[in-house]
Amino acid sequence: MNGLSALLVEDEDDHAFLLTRTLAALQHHGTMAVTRLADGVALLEYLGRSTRAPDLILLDLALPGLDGLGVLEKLRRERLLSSVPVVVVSASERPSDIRRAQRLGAGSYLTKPVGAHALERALQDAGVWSGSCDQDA
Amino acid sequence: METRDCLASPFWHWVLVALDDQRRHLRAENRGLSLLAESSRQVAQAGSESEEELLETAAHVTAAFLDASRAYVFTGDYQMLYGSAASDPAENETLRQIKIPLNRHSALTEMYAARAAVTLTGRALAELAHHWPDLQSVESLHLVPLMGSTGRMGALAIIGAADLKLTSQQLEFLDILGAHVALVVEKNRIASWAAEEYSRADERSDEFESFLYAASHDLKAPIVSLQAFAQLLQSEYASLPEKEALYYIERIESNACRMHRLVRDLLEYARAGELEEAGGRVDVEALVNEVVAEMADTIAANEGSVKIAKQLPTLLGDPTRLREVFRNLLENALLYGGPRPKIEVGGCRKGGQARLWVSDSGSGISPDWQERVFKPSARDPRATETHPEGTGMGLAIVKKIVEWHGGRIWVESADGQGAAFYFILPLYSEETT
Repeated sequence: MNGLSALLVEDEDDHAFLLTRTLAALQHHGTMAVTRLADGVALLEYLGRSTRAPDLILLDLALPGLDGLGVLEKLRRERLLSSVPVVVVSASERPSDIRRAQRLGAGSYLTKPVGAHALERALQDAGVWSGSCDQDA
Repeated sequence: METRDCLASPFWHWVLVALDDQRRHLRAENRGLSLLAESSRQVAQAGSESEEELLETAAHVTAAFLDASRAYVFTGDYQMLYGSAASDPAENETLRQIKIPLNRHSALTEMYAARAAVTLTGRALAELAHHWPDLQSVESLHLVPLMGSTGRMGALAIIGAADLKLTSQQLEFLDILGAHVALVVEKNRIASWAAEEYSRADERSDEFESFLYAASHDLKAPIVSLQAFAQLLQSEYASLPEKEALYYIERIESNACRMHRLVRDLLEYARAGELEEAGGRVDVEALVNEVVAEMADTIAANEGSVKIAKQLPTLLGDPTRLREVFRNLLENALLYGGPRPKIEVGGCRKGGQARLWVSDSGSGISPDWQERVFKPSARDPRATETHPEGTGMGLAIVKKIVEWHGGRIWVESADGQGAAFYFILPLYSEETT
C-alpha cells in the first residue's frame, strides 16, 4: 500500500494530538503517516535528512525559535520542496498573518480549533489526495 | 535770492541742522532696524538646527549687531548660568567651563527680578571675574536676561571695547533680540521634547501591541485545547473508551490550570506598577528567608537547595512587591536551574545602592535571549520545551517592580554555567525617613 506522508509542525502537545486525531478521521481518503515535529528547526533538520519529500506539511505559525512564516520562507527557496503543499494551522486570526502566509506560498490557512470538514476541504484544495488515491477520483 | 538770504538767517540754519539731525537719526534707526530684522531672521533660521548651533548663531548675530564687540550666550536656570556659545568660536571651549552661581551676585538676581538688562562695571564686574577670568581685563559687561515662559533661561552677555557706548536705541534693540533668542530656544526645546515624547509613546504603543498579541495568543492556545477536548467528549460520549475519556478530562483540567496561571500572572504584571504599601524599610534577609520557607514544598519537590548570604543590605521599598521579586526569581531558578538546582541569593552595597542577585546552576541563557527574557510572554524556546508550565510572565513582573523602585535588572550567563540575575534597588538609610 502506497500511503501518504505528512509532517506536522506543532509545539503544543495537545494541539498536535487533536490535529492528528482529526487527520485520522479522514483515513477513508487513504492512509497517511503523520510525523510530528516540535518546531521549525526540527522540520528543516528532518527534511535535510529524509530522502523523499513529504506529501503534505501542516504548519503552526507561533513556533519557538524559527516560526512558521520563517519556515515558509525557507521552504520556498528550496526547489525540491517548493511544490510540497503546505497547510497553515494557527490560532492567529490576524489578517496580516493570513496575508503573509498566503504570500509565502501556504496553500490554505486554517484557524484552530480545526474541524474535520475544514481540514478535508483544505487537503482536497491542496491536491493531497489527487493522483495517489483512486477512491477520491 | 530772497530765499537764500532767508535760509542764511540763523533761524533757518537752525531748522536745517535739526532736519539733518533727524534724517541721520532716522537713517541710523533704519539701519538698526534692518540689522535687528536680519539678526532675528538668522536666529529664527538657526532654530531648526541643534541648540548648540542656535546659540552660536545668537552669539554671532549679537556681536555683529553691535559692530565688533564680543558676545556670549549663557544658558541656565534659577541657580546657575552656564557658558554656552561665544561669537568667536575659538572661545567656545573655555567659555563652556564657566559656571556662575546666581545667588552670589545680587546684580544678576536683580536683573532677573526686574527682567531688564544691566551693565556691570567696577566691583560687580570684579566679583563676577572670580567665575569668568576673562572679565578681569574688561571695563564693562552688558547682560540681557533670557526669559522663557517658565522663568530664567540664561543671558546674552556683551563685552565691549573700552570705548563701547551702547546707544539707547541699541539697548532697546538688544532687549528685543534677547527676547527673540529666548523664544526660539524655548520653541526648540519644546519641539525636541515633544518629538522625544512622541517616539517614546510610539515605542510604548508598539511594545504594548506586541505584548497584547503575545498574551492573547498564549491565552488562546489552552482555550483551543479546552474547546476541542470538550467537543470530542460531547460528540463521542457514547462510544469513547473510558481510558480515553479520562485522558480528555485530564487535558481539559490541565489546560484550565494553565489559563488560570496565565491570567493570574497577567494580573500580577498589571498590578506590578501599583503601590501596595508605602515605601519603607525592608529587611531583605528576613524577607528572603520567609519566601524560601513559603516555597519549601516546591523546593523539596525539585530537589533544590537555596543558600542565602548573611548581612544582605536593607532596602527602601514596598515589601509586598519586593517579596514578588524574590518569589518569581526563586521560582525561575527552580524551573531552569537544571537537575537538583543550586540557588544562591546574595547582595552587597555598591555606590550608595543595594546590589542583589539570585543565581542558579542551570544550563544558562543564550546571549540573544538575555534581554528578551524580561519581555512579557517571551520564552526561550529551550525553556518552553523543558518547562511548559512556565507562563513567560515572571521575569517581566520582576523587571517592572524593580524599575518601579527606580532600579534596574539584568542577567549574566554563559552557556552551561547557570544564570545570575542582578538587580539594583535603593538602600534604606536612617536619613531617608
